[in-house]
This record gives sequence, structure tokens and C-alpha cells, in this order.
Amino acid sequence: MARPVSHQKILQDLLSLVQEHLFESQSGMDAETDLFEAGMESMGIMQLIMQIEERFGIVVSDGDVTRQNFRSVAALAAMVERLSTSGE
Amino acid sequence: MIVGETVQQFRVPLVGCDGFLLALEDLMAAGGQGRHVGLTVLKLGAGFCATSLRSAAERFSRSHPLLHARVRRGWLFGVPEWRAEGPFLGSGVLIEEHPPAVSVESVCERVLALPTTETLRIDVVSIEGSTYLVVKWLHMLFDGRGIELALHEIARLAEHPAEPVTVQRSWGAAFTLPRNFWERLRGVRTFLARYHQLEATVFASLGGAVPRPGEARFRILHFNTEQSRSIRERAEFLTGGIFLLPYFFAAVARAHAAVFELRGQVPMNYHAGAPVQGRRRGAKHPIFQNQISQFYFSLWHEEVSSLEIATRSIHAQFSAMARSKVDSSFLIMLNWLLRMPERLYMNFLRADTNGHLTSFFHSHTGQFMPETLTFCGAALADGWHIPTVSTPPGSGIFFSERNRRLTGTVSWRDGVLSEAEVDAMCLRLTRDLLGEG
Repeated sequence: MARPVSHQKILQDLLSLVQEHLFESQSGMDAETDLFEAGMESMGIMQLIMQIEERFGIVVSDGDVTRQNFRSVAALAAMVERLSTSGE
Repeated sequence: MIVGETVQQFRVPLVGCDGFLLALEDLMAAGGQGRHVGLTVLKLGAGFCATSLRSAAERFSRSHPLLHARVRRGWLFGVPEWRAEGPFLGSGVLIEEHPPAVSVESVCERVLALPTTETLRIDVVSIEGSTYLVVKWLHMLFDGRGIELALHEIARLAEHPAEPVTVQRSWGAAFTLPRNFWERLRGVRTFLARYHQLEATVFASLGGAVPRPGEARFRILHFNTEQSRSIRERAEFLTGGIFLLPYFFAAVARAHAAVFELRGQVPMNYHAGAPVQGRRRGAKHPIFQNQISQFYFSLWHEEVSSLEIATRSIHAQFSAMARSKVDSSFLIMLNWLLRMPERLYMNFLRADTNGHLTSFFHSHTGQFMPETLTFCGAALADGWHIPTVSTPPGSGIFFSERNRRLTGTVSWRDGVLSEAEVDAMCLRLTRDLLGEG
């Protein structure tokens, strides 16, 4: 079962995860950057889901995979927090 | 990265998917279809400077030995290599300027029909006040993303006219493989399991199983901003979220189904791959070689009767393959197959697919040159790819998007599709994408 972690830690983890695994040379990226505008595509989204599940010990169901939840790192953090809490 | 200007000889091994392209080149040559080339079209705004392009292209050519290399195999079952000997001059990129033309399509047709003697060729032409660049490239050396990176590098060099030439190691592999044989043996099982699942799908291609001569043909479908937005929203709705790949793949299968229906070849199943790009978004390197893996999809004839059902089926297959990392597993197999002589490689693939290889070729390369805003002094207004295909399978449909406008390219070999069949394919594709009818 996932241990509760702070919002700031989740945000930071997600930001580095997105920067390291999905994008390269995107120095201006922050928590509010629109990931779709930055070029995230089907394969990238799937890789991100798997990374999030592994890193935070949660299950991202099909219903959670929405444009709203994946539009930015901040939105992803909110989703991760919600899923972590509901899984407790 | 920088090797230094003194490098006069080099060898670089082919990477996984290059082996398939090498075998495909052999099949095309044996079938009288010429080299496996692609075109990329750039539409530029005002201010284009041809002198700047010539200078940048010359420095690009001198910096990248792969533009001067040939594929060689040391021994029968050795890994093929790109080999070149310096000095590496500006001849790696040919630039031709033409008088104004009537349409970019006619220029593309002319360029496609020319014998391919150089690795990279850029034809410059003015049409109705815009400058178009028609870039012809060898698929052995570039994939769709790679040619975009090469053009971006030329654009960057044009902005830095004083930058000295340095021989660059901009090759290399975007993927990493498991270190030892046993890990690879364990890793390849995922792909083999998927492969055996797909064996049940009996399918055919529009071009037939026998390689035969035919010029490369194409038709471009431009969608405006409003249509492209509507297509995106429809894709999101049908995939229940944000995955575009299943939607476009399903639409391409149904466009092919329209032709099989016209021919009375029904019911028909479908089996085809979709490339998985290995370079990360924003990556500068590697420019060269086919840095891709594949996912393989199948659709039963009853699934193709509806775009919604076909999309759902592809979405489920995509999720399952991504989660089990079939793409990484397939790379291990590709790496092993690299050692197989071309003819044997192709015979092995064709034997398993009744000679057809695949139902069709397909890719969606995403945003077209998103990192490039200007090219040699002019705004990059639009751009798209025109990949050519081999027979078999004889046809393919490809997509990309620039400035929120989608472009589709229907490619086939002369003699594979009649004009009426191309019309039927384009009509089904457009109606499906736009949700009409």
C-alpha cells in the first residue's frame, strides 16, 4: 500500500519523471506546462501511466486517463493524490 | 559528441529496425521498384534565402559522414555496417533550384521519378508566392522523425553561418537492450507470445504477395484547422480519453476495407504494425537510422465494420502491448535478425505472412518539426511527409500535424490501386475522420 507523501514531493517527483522519461531539452518546463502542447502522444501517455503506477504504487484506471488529468504535472499530481488517498 | 575533423574512416553498425529496411530495399530492388525513399515537403513564408540553405547544407554534409556512407556486411552472418572514408565534402546534400511551378504535387512526382543517386536531395520551387522545399531522403538512413531532426539541424546551421564544420557522431541508438544473452532470451518471450497470438489472423494486402514494378504514387489530404480540431475531439471521444493512435490506425484499416469491398474481397482481416519512436520529444540526437520499434495489431473483419468497434479493439491491444513492453521485447528480436542476410530475412517474414508482409503501412509521426519555427530566413508555415511503400503490401496511409492542421498522405505503387479505388479509400478515410455518414 502506498505511503502518504506531501503534495510538494509528489509534484517534484512527477516533474522529474516527466522531464527524464518523456522529454529532452525542455528546460522551461514547469508544473503548469501543457503536456499536450509540448508534444506528448499516445506512447508517451502510456509510458507515463506505467511510471506513475510504479513510482506511487497506485493503479491508474481507464476512467482516470482523461485530458483533464494529464494536461499538466500539476493536474497529474492532483490525480495521484486522489488515487493514493482512495487506495488507503 | 564531437570526434574531430581528422576522422577519415568510420564504421557504424545498423540498429534494430534498419535490418528490416535493408531487407525491404532488397525486395524492392528485386521487384524493380527502385530505392526506398521518402519525401518531406516544407512550405515556407516570405524571406527564404537560398544562399543560406546552400551554406548550411554544405556544412551539414561535411559534418555527417553517414551522408557519404554505404552499407556493407563483413561476413555472411555479420551485423551490416555503414562504412565511409573521408574526406567528407559537401556532396552529401544535393540542392536544385527550379523556376516557379504550378503545384507542389507535380514537383514531388517529378522528384520521385528521378533516379536516387544521393542520400539527401532538396528541390526548391516557388508556387503562388510561397517557397516549397521538396526533400528526398533514403529510408535506410532516416525515419520520419530523423529527417525532421536533420532539417532542424540545417535550419540551426543557417542561423549560425560562422559555425565551423566539425565531424559529428550524431548516430547511435535511441534504445538500450538487455546486457547479456540470457536476459535477452527472457526478454524476447513477450514479443513471441504476441507474435503467436497474431498468427491466427489470415490477411491479404491490396498489392498482392508478389513483388512487382510500379512507380511510387501518392495523394495528399489537407485538413484545415477546424476539421483538424474536430478530428482530434472525435478521436478523444472514441478512445475514451487521449490516445490518438488507435483511432487513426482503425481509420486506416477501414480505408483499406473500402477498397477490398469494391473488389468484392470480403470478408477481410487486417494485420499491420505501428512504429514506436525511440527518441524522446525534444531530443537533438540521434538524427540518423531507423530508431523505432513496432507494435503489431490485428483486426477481424467484423471489427472493421464499425470505426468505434475497430478503435476499441486497437485501443485494448495497444494498452496490453504497452503494459507488457512488447516494443522493448521486439527490439531484441530485431537485433538478432540484423545478422540474417537480406534475402533470407525477407523470405522468413514473407513465409509467415503468405507473402504479404502486412495489410498496409501506417504511421502518425505527430507534430511536424515542432522545434523549428523558421527555416533559412522564412517562417515554416506547413509541412508533411510523403513516405513511399513497397509491394507487397503496395499501400499505406500516413499522418502528421503542423500548426494544428492535420495532413494525411495516401501512398501506393502504380498498378496496385485504380483511380476509383484511391477515391474510395480517401472518401472512407475522410468520412470516418470527420464523422460524416
